[in-house]
Amino acid sequence: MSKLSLLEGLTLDQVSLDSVGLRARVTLSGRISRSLVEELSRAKKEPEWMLRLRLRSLELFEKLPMPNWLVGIEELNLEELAHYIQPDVQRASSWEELPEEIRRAYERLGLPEIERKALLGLAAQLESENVYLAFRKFLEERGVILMDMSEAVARYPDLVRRYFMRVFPPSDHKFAALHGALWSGGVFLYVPPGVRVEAPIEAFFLIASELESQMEHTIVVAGEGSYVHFIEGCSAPLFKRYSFHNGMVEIYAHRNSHVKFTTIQNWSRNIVNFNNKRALVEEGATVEWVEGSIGSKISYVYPSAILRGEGARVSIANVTIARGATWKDSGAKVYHLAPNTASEVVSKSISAGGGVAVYRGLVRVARGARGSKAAVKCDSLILDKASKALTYPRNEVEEEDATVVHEATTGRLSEEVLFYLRSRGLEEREARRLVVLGYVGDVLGRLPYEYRLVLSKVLELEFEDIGGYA
Amino acid sequence: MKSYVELPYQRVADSPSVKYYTAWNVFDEYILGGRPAREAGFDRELLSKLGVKPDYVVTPSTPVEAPVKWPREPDRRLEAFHFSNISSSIEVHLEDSDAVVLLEKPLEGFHASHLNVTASGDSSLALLLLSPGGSRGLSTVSLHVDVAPGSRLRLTYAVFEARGSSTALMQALSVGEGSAVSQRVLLSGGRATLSELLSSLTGAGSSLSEGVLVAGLEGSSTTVVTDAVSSAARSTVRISLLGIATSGYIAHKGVVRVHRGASGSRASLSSRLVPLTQRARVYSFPSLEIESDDAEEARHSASNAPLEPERIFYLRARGFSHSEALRALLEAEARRALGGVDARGELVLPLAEHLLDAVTAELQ
Repeated sequence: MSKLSLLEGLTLDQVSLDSVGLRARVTLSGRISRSLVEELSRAKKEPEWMLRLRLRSLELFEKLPMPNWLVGIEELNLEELAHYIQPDVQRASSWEELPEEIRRAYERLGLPEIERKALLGLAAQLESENVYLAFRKFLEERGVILMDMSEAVARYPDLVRRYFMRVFPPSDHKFAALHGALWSGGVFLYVPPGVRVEAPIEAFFLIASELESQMEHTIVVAGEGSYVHFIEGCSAPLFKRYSFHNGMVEIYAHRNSHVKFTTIQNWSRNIVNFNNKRALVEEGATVEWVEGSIGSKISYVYPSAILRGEGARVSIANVTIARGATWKDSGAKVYHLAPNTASEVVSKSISAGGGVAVYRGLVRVARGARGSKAAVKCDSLILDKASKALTYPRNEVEEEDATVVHEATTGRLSEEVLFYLRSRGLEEREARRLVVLGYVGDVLGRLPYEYRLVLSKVLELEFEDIGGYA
Repeated sequence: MKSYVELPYQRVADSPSVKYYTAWNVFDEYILGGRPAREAGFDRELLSKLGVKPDYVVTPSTPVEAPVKWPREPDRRLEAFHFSNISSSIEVHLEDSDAVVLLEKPLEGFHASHLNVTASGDSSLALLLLSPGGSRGLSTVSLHVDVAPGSRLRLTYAVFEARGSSTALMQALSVGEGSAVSQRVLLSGGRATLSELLSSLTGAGSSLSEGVLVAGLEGSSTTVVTDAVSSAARSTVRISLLGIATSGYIAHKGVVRVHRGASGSRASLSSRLVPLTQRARVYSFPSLEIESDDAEEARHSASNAPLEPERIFYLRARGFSHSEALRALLEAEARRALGGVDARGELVLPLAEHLLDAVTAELQ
């Protein structure tokens, strides 16, 4: 079955460990304490330095205050969550090696098909661990490392230690510290200098239980002059109770490298989603973040970049859908620390059915970042009276010859445009579809073709039953 | 009310990363250890240059003549300090009339004053705070402005500080049905200047056009808060700010809120901050909060960038000196921000010129 037809259903109700007849090998839940962290580290057979990092993070988590500007997380009770679930499955490098039920679940998500057609590597995480990881032999021969994060910690400790939580330290905020204490899963991708990985590599994360916290950690390291496109997909079936996602992505783009990082987040409507994403961009390097935030009930995601080397560039594009009783807080943060750095942020949000879409952004041009340029454009589309759009951009400039421009608009579907399209013979439904897809068109255009089709289709489905396309 | 020392400087929700965008430490010097002012004065030379005669002069010896009206309970330190220490208040009724209010600046210590303004018909009010050189005092001023339905009001506020003086200007403006308010605010210099302009469009068809011009001179710190709430149908808000920082700090924080029910309303907020030297620092935080699809259009823009070198080059190629070119470009930007000045806004022009003179003098 194709990914498109699967998404039309948007139901993953059978993908839980129980439903596929599997038991968890290890489950750690309850109060977040030193003994829980030690047990987690023991279960993952981690080296001493990682345990120390976890315990230091735990101390910070206990000390740091709960951010009091977060909205809608009253339901979140960390004590009742399972923080680590290790499925009783041996990690496979071909689909045939996986138990049939799990394979079928991933087939329903279209992963094997899309891997064959468009990807050079794929990691699939179920609960807290990767159950599938494969990538092309020729990349391995060129020195590319694509590995489960825990395995990378064991096999390449010096390399991983150089990067792990360096650009996003646990001291950043309470939930970064929580992540540092309890992370599990995620991948480590290292692209050696000069190597270009021409087709994307994907990691797919599936939460298959209610009252679970998933905290995968992904690191992408692009060596000097290299290129890589990493895609992250997320999905979860709808449970009675919520689950919590608190992932982290760190990108290290070395001199003159180019990294694209695309996220298609389609969590179910009872996932509380925090995601911590930050890139360190060296001289002449480019990072592109593309974020399609479709699902989840509450979401706080701000891809960010620290432009540390002269001529470093970042482009951040977000599409956020807030449909129904959801709070979608997204945005972008860019720190210009070196001369002649450039950033571009494009954010598009659509609120409908009482959803709240928030853009929260920061552009900071520090002293010394002479000649830097930043452009931010955020647009919000409100489809009905019950929905809201909030825009909070901040610009801090300490260099007199830096140029920072910001523009934001909030509006509704234009009656004039709809009238024009209808006068050209289009039905109301088709006219609305065109206007909404046109509205997010410049972000969709940044996705690979297969993913663009998927996201367009998801958008159509999202708005079909609430009048967006009616 | 809590003791003001226990209250926070700013609401936490204003700034998730607890970014203090105002020089609160300067205000704290007066809050924690200041004394009420005894002597006050004003820049006589500038007043005579402007050629206006004040209808009201508020000094530290002006008593509390009118009840203090304010739409909400003060919940921040400086605001609460002000309302706990008001020693002068006056009532200004405008009915198809114009008035000029001169606030004298304390030479030392602090002076807290309050104005209740009611306006109807076609009226104007100018508030002048022209600090004499050498002044080191703090003025805190609150204005409660109520505009009757079907009226037109032109408001002009000018706060020109000395190097060592500080001011907190707080406004609560309410605009009734079918009324139009045109407001121009000019702020220059000062150790710490805070201008909080809160406007509420409560009547259908009401409009607010607000232009703010700020000079961030050496050693100065200026924060402008422009908050507008639109809760009535067909209301229009247009806020435009130009901040020129030579070697001071300018922060602009503004929110435009469009509530549910404000059908067909329009709102725009623009912030243009121009750092002119390496010592200049600028910060902008313009926000939109749109609560339904009732708003016809809502937009904001912020630009923190120097003057375009191409334009300076063009003018220099036409025979302008560098400073003349700079001055011409700043004047053009200022006129745009102030949204043009109508025939009866004649006070705005000389005030803007005086402010730009101070900027160019410092650059030279």
